[in-house]
Amino acid sequence: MEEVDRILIHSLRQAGTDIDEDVQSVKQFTSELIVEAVVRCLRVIDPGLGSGVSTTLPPGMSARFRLGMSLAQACQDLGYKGEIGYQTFLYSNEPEIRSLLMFLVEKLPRESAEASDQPAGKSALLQKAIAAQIKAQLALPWLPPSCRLPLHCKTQSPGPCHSFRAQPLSLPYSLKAPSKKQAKEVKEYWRVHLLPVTSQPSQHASVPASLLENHVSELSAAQEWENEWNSQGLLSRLTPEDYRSRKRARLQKRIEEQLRTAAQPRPDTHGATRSTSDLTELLNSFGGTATGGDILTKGTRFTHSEKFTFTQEPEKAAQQMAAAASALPSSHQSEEDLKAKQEAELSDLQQQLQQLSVQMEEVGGDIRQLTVSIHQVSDELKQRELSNSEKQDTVKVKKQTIDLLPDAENNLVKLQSLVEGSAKRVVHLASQWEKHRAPLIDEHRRLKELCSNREMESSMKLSEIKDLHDKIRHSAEEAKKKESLYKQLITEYETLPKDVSRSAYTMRILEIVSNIKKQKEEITKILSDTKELQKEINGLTGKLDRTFAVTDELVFKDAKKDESVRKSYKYLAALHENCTQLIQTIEDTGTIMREIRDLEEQIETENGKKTVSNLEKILEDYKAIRQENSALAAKIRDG
Amino acid sequence: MELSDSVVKGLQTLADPACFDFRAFTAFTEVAFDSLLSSRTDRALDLPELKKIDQALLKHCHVATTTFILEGIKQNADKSTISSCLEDVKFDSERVDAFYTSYQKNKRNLESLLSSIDRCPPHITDASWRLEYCMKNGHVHNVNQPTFLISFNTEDGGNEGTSSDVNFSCTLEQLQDLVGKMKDAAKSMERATQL
Amino acid sequence: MLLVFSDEHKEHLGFLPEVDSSVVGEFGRIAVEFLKKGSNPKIYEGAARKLNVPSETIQHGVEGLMYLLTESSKLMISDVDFQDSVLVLGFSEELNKLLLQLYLENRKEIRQILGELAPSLPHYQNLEWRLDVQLASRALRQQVKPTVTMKLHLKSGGTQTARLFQTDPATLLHLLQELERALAEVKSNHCRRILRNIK
Repeated sequence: MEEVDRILIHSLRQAGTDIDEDVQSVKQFTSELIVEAVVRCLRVIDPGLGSGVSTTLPPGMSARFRLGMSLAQACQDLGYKGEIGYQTFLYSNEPEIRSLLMFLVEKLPRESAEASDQPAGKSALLQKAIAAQIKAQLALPWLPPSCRLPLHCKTQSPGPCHSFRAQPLSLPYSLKAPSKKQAKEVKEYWRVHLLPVTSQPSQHASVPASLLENHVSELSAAQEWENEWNSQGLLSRLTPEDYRSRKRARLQKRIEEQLRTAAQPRPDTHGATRSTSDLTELLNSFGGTATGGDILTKGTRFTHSEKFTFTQEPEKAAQQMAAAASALPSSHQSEEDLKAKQEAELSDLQQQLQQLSVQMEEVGGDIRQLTVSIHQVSDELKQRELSNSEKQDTVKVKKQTIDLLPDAENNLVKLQSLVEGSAKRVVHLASQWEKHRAPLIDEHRRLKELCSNREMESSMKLSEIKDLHDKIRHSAEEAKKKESLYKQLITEYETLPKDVSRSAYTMRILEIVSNIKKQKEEITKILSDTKELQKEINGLTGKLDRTFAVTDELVFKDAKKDESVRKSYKYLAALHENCTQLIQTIEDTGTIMREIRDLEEQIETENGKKTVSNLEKILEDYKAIRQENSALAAKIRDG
Repeated sequence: MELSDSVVKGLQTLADPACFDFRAFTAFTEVAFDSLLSSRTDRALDLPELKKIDQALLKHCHVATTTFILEGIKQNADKSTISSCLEDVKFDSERVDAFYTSYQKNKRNLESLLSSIDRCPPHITDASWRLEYCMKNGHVHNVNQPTFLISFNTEDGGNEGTSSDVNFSCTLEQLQDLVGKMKDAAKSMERATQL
Repeated sequence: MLLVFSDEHKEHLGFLPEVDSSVVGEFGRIAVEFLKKGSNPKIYEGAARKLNVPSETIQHGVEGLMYLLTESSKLMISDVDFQDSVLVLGFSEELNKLLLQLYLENRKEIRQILGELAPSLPHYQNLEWRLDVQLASRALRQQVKPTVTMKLHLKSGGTQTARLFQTDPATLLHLLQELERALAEVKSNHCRRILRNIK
């Protein structure tokens, strides 16, 4: 029974009944506890049935009676077959209560138990974490601000606050080009002048923000590239480097076109000329990198701009780097010094700039004039050359015809034969060409087919690759999800109480089953023993009867002859009678013993029903009802 | 945890015993954590242990390591995440352990560093009060009413923790109203713990 | 306590017996109205035209009434004292009663208006609160930081201001404790004795 009770109490606790730790068996259940347990179970089984009943026993007797009646009715509605009434709850006895509770616990819906096996949702976990955090903070005593420990500082004071302020960082590597291709000066800058990233931002508080932001931007750039490569790059069948360079060229061309259309020279506006000339220079520098070789031979102003940009570039880069380095806060200079210096530098530079721009303008004017004149001259030159060569050709033809004129007829025949010969040759060559052509065309067709096959194959492979990419991404995502789920389940498993384990239950059940088996075996053994005994008894009685009959006959025969034998016969008869009596008595004792045992058992069960205490309770309750009644009557009379 | 290529490259360099021997590695990780937490880091990488290493490479590793640390703290990465990430970039187990020990040691401080990137209204830290009995003033005599002067001490984290007071007065009824509302708040908070 | 009238005040009020009692009642109503909402000189002119007297006289009369009402309300004099004080003016019985009634009817309101003139700190109006839990920020994911955000509405003079604060659970409980102590103080023996004795 202990096992049963433990399981019962456990399931009742799960159903929401508040059972004390020291209540170990159903025997210790009070009426209040029984009512609460039954009502809670009813509420779980069928909310409609149990919601109308309170979980606590009311103080008034009549109300208690009504509660008991409604509970009994609810249990019967659920299909409870046993005897049940208000007395079951108010004047409980152990076996009845146990069978009722077992019935109710069996009726408890299984889903609730299964639902608790499911992994708790994220929101539930979050709720728990929040509850735990608030509890932890409430558990800390409040301390005045001046005597706070670091522990309190975290929660009870706001701590320093900064906004998320990211600043651009200068990094000792380049995302665009491998470090080997970097210019020597850049590398020098990285090695010698560049500050560690953590001291680059002007305020230390923006170090983490800047680093995190830098990382995020790198990641998102990589992701964008990945997307583009997967969607377009793979289809273009180029290596990533080729794809990139082609894209760059395309973009450059587009920019160039846009700028060119925007920078159509407008002669009416004087102010625009400078900017358009700058623009054309820019355009030239664009083109310069792409088609440098051609321009060099022509020797126009492109070369100038080329030279200019190339020679300027390293200097510019160095200047920029120096500027960047000086822009970084150096701790050794005071701010005012820096400011004054910067101002001086600024005015200096401005002056230089002005001078340079004036010079530039002058030189630019010169260049423009010169280029215009060069253009004109070269155009003229070309035209002259063209006319020259034309004239030379005509002179040649005329000279030949003049040479042929003296022997006109002969030459005519010769020419005709020459013409015929060449016509024949042409026909011959054509037939020969036909001969060659046919196999070549076949070959060409074959190769074409092969090529298209190849293309098909490669496109198939491409699509396969794409699929694979997708699959890889999917699997990676799934793996991530599964991993997080696994982690969550592990933590949950760790937090789960270990005392009620399934295996313990099954072990116990198996034990009980084996116990029952053992008991059954013993019972059968005892039964067979009893049967054997019965047989033996029967055999013995038969033997006795037979022996007695034989002895009786023998002795009776002799008794007719001899007096002493007759006496012995009498004795025999008496002995027999006494023995039968004895046997009878023994049997009687056995039955009585059995009866006694039966009665004892009955007494035990009656005792278990707590009849005496229940009777006392009933008497008290009866008195209470009488009192209530009389009080009510008095009230009526008064009223 | 997702890492960009440059971070991965930097960490791989750090994992390479040909570049960083173990002594240099421990010194370097120490410097990386310190440089995030302390504000004077201009000469942080000038250590005798790190003299042999190319400065540009060293700075790259520094960027990568500090970024990795911050990402780890930001995502609240646990031991398995950290070690799997580090093993992916070829850290041997000795270095993983050494790194994780420093990570664990500095985690609390780094967390508060990151949580300080935040904005919040002034934080009430304490309250004091004074009960006054007003008898008369220039305009009315025989006022005879109790008045509470309440002052909330607040700290503003955004202003380098400057504290200031908010003073206001209440009549008895108003104070009862205030206390009632704060009680509601406290109750709802306690309810939140019982989930 | 009796009111002491200056001669000028007496002279100003001297206009009252010259007009009908209903007109005095009207003047009283206007005086109370002006105390509540500020004066309006147009009304003086209208009344002056109707009664055919200079508008200054009307103004003096009404202002005299206003001063009488504010002074007596400020000192919270009893009705007997009021009657005795007004007796000095030598008005008719009916007029005195009218004034007394005016005084008693409006005393509370006038005291309230006067009370607002007293210098005071911003006054508590209302408190709104909200329980927040910060779960993540841009730089730190996965945090749990419960705070109670409060909006304190204060009124200073005629202007309402609202200020935003936050606090943590432990401090909230401390604040609550502290303020409850303040509330309990008003019921302490010491405080009650003072309240009783000063009345």
